[in-house]
Amino acid sequence: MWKFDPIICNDPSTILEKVSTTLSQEQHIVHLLKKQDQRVIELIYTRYSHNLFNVILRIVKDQGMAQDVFQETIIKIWKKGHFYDRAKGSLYTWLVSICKHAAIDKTRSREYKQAIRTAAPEEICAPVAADPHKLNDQQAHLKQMLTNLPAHQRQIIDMAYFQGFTQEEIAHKLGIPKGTVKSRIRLALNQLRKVMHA
Amino acid sequence: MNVEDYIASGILESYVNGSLSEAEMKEVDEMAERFPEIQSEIDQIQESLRDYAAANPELPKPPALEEIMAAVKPSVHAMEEERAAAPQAPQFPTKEPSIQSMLPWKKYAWAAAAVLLVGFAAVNIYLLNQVNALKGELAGFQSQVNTLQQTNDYIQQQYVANRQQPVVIEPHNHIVADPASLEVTMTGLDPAPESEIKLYWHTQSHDIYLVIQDLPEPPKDHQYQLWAIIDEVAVDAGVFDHHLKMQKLRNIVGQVSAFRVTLEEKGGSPTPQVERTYASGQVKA
Repeated sequence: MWKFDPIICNDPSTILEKVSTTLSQEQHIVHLLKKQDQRVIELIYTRYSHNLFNVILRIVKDQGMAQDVFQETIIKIWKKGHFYDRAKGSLYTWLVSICKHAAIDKTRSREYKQAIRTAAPEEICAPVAADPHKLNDQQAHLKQMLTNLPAHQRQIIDMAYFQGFTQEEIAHKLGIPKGTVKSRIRLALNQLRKVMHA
Repeated sequence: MNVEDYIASGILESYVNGSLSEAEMKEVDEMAERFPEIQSEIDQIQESLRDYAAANPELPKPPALEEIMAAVKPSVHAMEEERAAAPQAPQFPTKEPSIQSMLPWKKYAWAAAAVLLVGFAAVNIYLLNQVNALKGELAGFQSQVNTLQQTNDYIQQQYVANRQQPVVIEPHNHIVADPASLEVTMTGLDPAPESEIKLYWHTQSHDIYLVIQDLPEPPKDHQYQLWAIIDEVAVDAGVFDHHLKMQKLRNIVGQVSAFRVTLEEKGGSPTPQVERTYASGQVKA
């Protein structure tokens, strides 16, 4: 049984930084989940939002609807967090599973079926890119580092981790076998880590 | 498989991507727990992708945190109100009322002592009668215990004799007929449309009884699991043995809108495999 020292802090990134030396961040999040502490929403958002949003987008295929599902799901996670049982898998696996089911439920809804019927195929299948935002210093620095990542590797990371494409869809779009998609994703991520830590 | 091969297999990239099946995700969790280098690899991939997202705000992204926190506010208030409305421990007065102010005790002391004496005598007589009555009841209970012991021995003998056979509990009419029992008919879905299960949910005790009328044999190392849908979230109501005609599952408390049965790996899952939903039934208010 691990011991918990409460950390009073409103900034989630600071909380994560502080707990990293004493507890695993996951344990800290689970502790707050069990207490239905609303700070957990910020922690989950900071740590997992992009992964979870991509999981939803991959199923729903529409950015607006994926945003609705994400918002509803993260609130649901906070409300039902006390049902989480570590013995049955990691927190991340549990979160992914909840997001998948919420997204699947969405695709079964009348609203979604209506949207499928009325929207042009491209609108449903291709996520719409958001407007670029002004970058702060740290973001600009990261962006600068990314210039060392080849365009084709950025493309595959975008598709697999942010634009909600399945490996089959990437294979189809790029005209390459699925096995090649897997190895290219791995190479791209390795390269990403190299350029970020250069 | 050694750790390096495992990392090089590309499974961790798919794990972070959330594109593995639930069973595969759990397999990675187990490996990460056993080998810290695997956990470290996962953490590094996650971190790189967080940095990548920060540098590329034009990528599709979830709603802003502020938006979510604004949306969660009503729920936070509702929860706080619910907690505040929860039954509190009874409040006792901190200062006892003064008897002196009500009665001039010196004047009435003798009368009070006499009343108390009579009261004690009456209580003693009453208690004596109670003791005698309880002695009689105790003898009756002893006799019932003996009978139950004999019944228990008989059931044990039957159980040993039938150990190879699944234990079948016949449907109890009192559960089915109890007006407090809510009957939910669960009908089969795509994987097995012929499936049929009756569920009885006792609205006071919250006990759940399943009566399996038709359900196919699950594949090896798999088991059926019951889920209660509360606020659109599937709450685990326990795995069950499809061989048993009637069985009691764990209590479920809450506003259940539906019950569903999924096929899961033996021992059950924390979240359902929705695509393997075998039966479903709505709870009628």
